[in-house]
Amino acid sequence: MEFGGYIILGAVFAGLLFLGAAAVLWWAYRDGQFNDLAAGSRTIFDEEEEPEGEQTDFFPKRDPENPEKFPPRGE
Amino acid sequence: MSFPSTLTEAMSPTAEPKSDLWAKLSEVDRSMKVLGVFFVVCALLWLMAGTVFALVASIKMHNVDFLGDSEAWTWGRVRSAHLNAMIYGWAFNVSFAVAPWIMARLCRTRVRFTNIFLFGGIFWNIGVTIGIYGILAGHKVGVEWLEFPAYVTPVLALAFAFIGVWVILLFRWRQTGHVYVSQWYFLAAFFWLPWLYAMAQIMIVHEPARGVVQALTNWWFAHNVLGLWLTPIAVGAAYYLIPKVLGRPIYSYYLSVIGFWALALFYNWAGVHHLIGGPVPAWVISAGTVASVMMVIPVIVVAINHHMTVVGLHREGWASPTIRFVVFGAINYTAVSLLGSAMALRSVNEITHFTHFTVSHSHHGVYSFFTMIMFGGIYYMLPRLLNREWPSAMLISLHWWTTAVGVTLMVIVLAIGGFIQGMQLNAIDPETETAAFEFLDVMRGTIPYMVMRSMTGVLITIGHVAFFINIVWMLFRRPAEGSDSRPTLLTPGS
Repeated sequence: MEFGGYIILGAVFAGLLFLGAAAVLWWAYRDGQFNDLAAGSRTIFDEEEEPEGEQTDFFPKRDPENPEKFPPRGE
Repeated sequence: MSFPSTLTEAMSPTAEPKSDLWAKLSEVDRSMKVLGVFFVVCALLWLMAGTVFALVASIKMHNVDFLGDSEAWTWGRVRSAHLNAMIYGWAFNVSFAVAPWIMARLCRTRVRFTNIFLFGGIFWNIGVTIGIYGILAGHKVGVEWLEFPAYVTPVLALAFAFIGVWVILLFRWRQTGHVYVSQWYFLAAFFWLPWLYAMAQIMIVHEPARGVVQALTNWWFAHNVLGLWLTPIAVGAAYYLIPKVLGRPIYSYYLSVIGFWALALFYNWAGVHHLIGGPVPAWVISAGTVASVMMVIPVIVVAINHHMTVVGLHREGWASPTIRFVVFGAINYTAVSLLGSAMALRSVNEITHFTHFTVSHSHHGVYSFFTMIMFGGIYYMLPRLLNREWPSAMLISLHWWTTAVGVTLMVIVLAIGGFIQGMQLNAIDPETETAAFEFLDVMRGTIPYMVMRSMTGVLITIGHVAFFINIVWMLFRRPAEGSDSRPTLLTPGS
């Protein structure tokens, strides 16, 4: 296949990909994915297990509820 | 009502009431335990193997006789073994561990039909093992990033198909209405990669395109493995881990959505900047350069979001192993991407091309950015999967310091050495109007930088050994019971 043929083939595949992306974007819009982004950003939190406002990862054996064990800055 | 018993039933849009499938985060973690641990262990073993190959290849750059009597350990083979072990071994396996786990948590559903994923994972690792053996045995394909022998690529493609389909099914089973930005990134990555890999294999290995199209396909693939696979996996993980660990929502969710769609639009075009100066139509190079510069948009968006989410919580972040690694990776994402956009400019590229500057850039991207975020992901994930605390804070600290310092020094050393190398290669003697430096002299001038690179490699290796020991120790220790600390566990003492 000559260079021009590859360009046409590439354009067809790129077009299909672009249409696919456009379809997904349309679905997201119709589904209301962009309606309330502020609420969307909070969906990763869980009131019971990992609530907003609470740090969930520390070095082992350091209790965040015990300030004297909290590692100092620059440790 | 019970769970659907067959895969077909599970895929039906009407078969599953939500109340049965909604899961607590700890339940999701438990359901991901086998998969997560399997892929972390595979990734760890490939990380160690890739590190050995890296050290050997690095030492041979300044000591060519090192292991010089063995064909399998010649530089051309061992360097390819390093690249492929790190990409297809470490980076893919750790992506298979971290991204589906985060996806499952965001979907809030217990994972099912895990045998599909496990089957794909086992065959993926068999394929990579055969591929690395093939490279060392001298069967490699002479195309960078696609060096695995042709006989192994169908195995990898099939294995990824199982894994990719499972991840898409996982998304289909989600019990949440909103699709979080990390899910966008992961879904896109699991859709893009098979498309990239299949096209590259067909056009380069099985039905090779001729001439310049082959080179274009090569760099379209190689650059997009970083941009459309590793980048969305790592950025998606950072978008989950930073706000999750700190308990603070992402600074601007609106920007994060823009960032995702800008990445989807621009990154795909950027790879051809690797062929600047080559016999490629100028408009193709120009399109790649424009797309590379346009990548500044999603990069700045991600930088603003990550930085502003952490700002004011630096003390808390320092206390978290996950945040240390992830924020280091996020900062380097900004740096490496802006540098990459600059390197795509013709005036810069004519200096940096064919020099160690490019090697610096690739390590900056794959290690300082991607790998460090994945380390952070493992530090967050593994205690939750195993319900065990990390055994040693000292080993975590050692891991962080050695890898962060080691890779930063490596990137700087190679960038300086590569820039000087490029300037010397391009220098013209004004009197004779010929090359100002002999090629061999330029190469000799790089040797001190190669020695320094090996030294930084030793530092990184120490970090990897610390990481290895901590994980093996963790796997074989007893589950936490009544621990007096409240570290990374969701439900302490449970």
